[in-house]
Amino acid sequence: MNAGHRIPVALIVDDDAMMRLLIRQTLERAGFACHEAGNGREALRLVGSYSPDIILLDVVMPELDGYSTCEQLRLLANASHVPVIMLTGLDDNDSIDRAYQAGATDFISKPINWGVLGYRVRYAMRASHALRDVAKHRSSLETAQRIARLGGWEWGIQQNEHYWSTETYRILGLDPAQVRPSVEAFLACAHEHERESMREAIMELLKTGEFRARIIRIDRPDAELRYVQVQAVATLDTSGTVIRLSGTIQDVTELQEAEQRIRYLAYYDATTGLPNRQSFVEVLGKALGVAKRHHRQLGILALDLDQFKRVNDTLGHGVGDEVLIAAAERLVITLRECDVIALPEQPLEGSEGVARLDGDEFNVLITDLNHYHDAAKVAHRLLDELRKPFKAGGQEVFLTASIGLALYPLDGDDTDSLMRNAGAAMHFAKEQGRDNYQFYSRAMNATALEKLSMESQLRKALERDEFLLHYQPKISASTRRIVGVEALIRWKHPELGMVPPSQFIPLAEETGLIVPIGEWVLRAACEQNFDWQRAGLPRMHVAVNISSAHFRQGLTGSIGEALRTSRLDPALLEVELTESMLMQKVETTLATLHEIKDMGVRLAIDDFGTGYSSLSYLKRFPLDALKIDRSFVKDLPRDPEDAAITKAIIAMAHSLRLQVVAEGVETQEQLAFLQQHCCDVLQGYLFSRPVTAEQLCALLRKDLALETVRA
Amino acid sequence: MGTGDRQAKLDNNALEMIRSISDGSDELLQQVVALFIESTPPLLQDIEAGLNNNELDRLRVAAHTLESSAANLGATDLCEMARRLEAAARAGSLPAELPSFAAVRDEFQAACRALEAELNGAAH
Repeated sequence: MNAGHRIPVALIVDDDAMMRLLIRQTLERAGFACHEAGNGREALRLVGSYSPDIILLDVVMPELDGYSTCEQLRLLANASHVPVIMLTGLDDNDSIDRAYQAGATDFISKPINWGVLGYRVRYAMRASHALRDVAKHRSSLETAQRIARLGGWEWGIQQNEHYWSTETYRILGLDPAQVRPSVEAFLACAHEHERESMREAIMELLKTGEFRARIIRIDRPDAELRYVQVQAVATLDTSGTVIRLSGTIQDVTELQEAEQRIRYLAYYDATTGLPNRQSFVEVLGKALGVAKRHHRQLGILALDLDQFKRVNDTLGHGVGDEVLIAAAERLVITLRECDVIALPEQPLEGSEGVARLDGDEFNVLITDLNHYHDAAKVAHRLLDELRKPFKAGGQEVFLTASIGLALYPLDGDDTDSLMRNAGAAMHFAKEQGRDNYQFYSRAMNATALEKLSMESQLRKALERDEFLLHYQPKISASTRRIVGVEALIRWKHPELGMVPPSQFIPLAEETGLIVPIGEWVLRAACEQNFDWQRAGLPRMHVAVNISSAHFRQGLTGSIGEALRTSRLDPALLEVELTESMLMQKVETTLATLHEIKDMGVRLAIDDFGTGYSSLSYLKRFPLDALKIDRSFVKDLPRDPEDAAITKAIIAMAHSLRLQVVAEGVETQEQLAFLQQHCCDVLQGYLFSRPVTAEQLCALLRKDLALETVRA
Repeated sequence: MGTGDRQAKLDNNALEMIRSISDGSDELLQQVVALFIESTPPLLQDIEAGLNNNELDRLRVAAHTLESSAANLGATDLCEMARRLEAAARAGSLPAELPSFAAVRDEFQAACRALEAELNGAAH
């Protein structure tokens, strides 16, 4: 039926053979293929076989006239849309009216102007096609709009004329028979929270002609809540005044719901239902924006469950997940109770400021932070709550957590650095022994930097020979003579001067440098004592403190090497080991102790009383001496508890045939108490502070054991 | 009653228009004239019967057809007669001043003579 792609077909219906001949000749010249029918009935019959693109129909015919023929053609499925041109008599207005009423598309009055007939027929056919296309488009547009749930509306401002399409009514859930279109009627549909902003947007649109598409909620009369996208454009007159608004409303509820589902999947952790990392980053970003505008503080907590892997490994992932879910719930509840989460723009529903980043790692955002103490309180509460046992997989599971805290603006002003720094602080908390929280303060930052440079300095210290030993005398309680010395390490840094052991020993332990340092101490102490002995000074032992790392890594070898190179009598070397060192892996410890003992070296237990020694083990260790920890000596003799413990330690040590040494003796009262209770050896400032090798040499020479040398 | 050899006046524009449809040749005109001569006597019979027996519908259809074929061939007078007959038939009454059957028949014959003369190149 498309005239553009094939030869158009005309059906000529006239009882007059001459007319048929002339019309046929004319139309064939104009490019039509023609068929003829001599009367109406024949036309009705032929229309099915020829599928004409246009029908020329004479009005006046015997039997079935043109009007009736046209009416019946219109009832045929294959001819209802075919344009029909009726050939009417001259100036016959009546027949023209009747032709249109019968469904004719156009008319041509006789006598026919043959010169233009071809054009007129072509034109009529094109117009008819165009009309049909428009009709088809309109109906397909309506269908498309219905499917798209797209409604149209118009508002003529000057006449205050409103038009809403059928679909607009349908979307709003309104009955066109009952509601007349108006701005107020539309606003009445909007959810009450959206009404004012929508009104403002319309006012703005009227004023400026600008409108930003928006999605609003519609409360329909049937109580359904729908999401509707509103779009509008303004038509301006030449003076720039808005004269008409037209636009669409589209029901996007399903889209909105799908988006929310996708959003949930993208933003939430499936196991715990908590927001995920991505979500936390966005929430934090928004909270930062608000905090910046209102000059508020924020707290970011990085929380990691300690040794959670163990739960998974021993109890299985099922139980592990149960514990995670329970832990997440505890976090949420605790934070709610702390009342520190206030997200002003409510970026995500259900977000309590807690997110699961991955595995056993959670982040918490504190938005209502008045003082950093508040963040510490929250961290404290969370640690307390997580320490309570979890019931999972039919048993009790015990957990602790480590928390790092970063503060805005103190520790960073973007999501990246705040989350990173909270994480760093959390790792610091882990290093501090877990089950605690640590701030990422600038001080901490500085400590970390210092640690870095200190470490490289410490490595160089050995090569540069910057370490030296000081010696503190040990005095026999009975003879008041020096019976031994404790070697104490010192670091003389070329720029920093004397670095106290408390500052570099922990670092040396952390980095493993403690072992080579320990070897150096052993060798240096042995060599020094050998020198003193060769110089004819009194026979006495030199005591060396041993680190636990060294004790477990080739101590015996180090001692043998030190003795061999120094040629010191092994009996003049004493190694001081701490209680806690000895109580780990007792069988290995015992073996090591015997190896050392077999070399002829003295063994002393240091800082006694602070750990948890088992008496039965102590009995099995080949020890020579026991040093009472200075903390018991400090408050002697006034503190009755310390006094009792000290007396008990001395008695016990003696029963094991151990020599008892008291450290940190500073007063005459302490001395008197210790003497009274038969302590064997005394060490402390009352007799001498740690001194250099030369000074000690002088002390020994002068044999000033009975005198007090105060620092 | 007209004379036996009278030729009707023909509207030359109509004839030229038909010639133009067949690229200026007389071929189509000859066919159309032949059809006119052949198909008109039955119309005249209908007109005569319609007039005599007051068969208005029969008269109207025949007059209408005659009107348009006369118009096509520029037979203006014949066309006018047919038009008046058709209008009267449609109006439902046949007043006395209507052209008589004989007048219509004579005018048809005069038109035929003129058309034959036209085709024979002996117009006027």
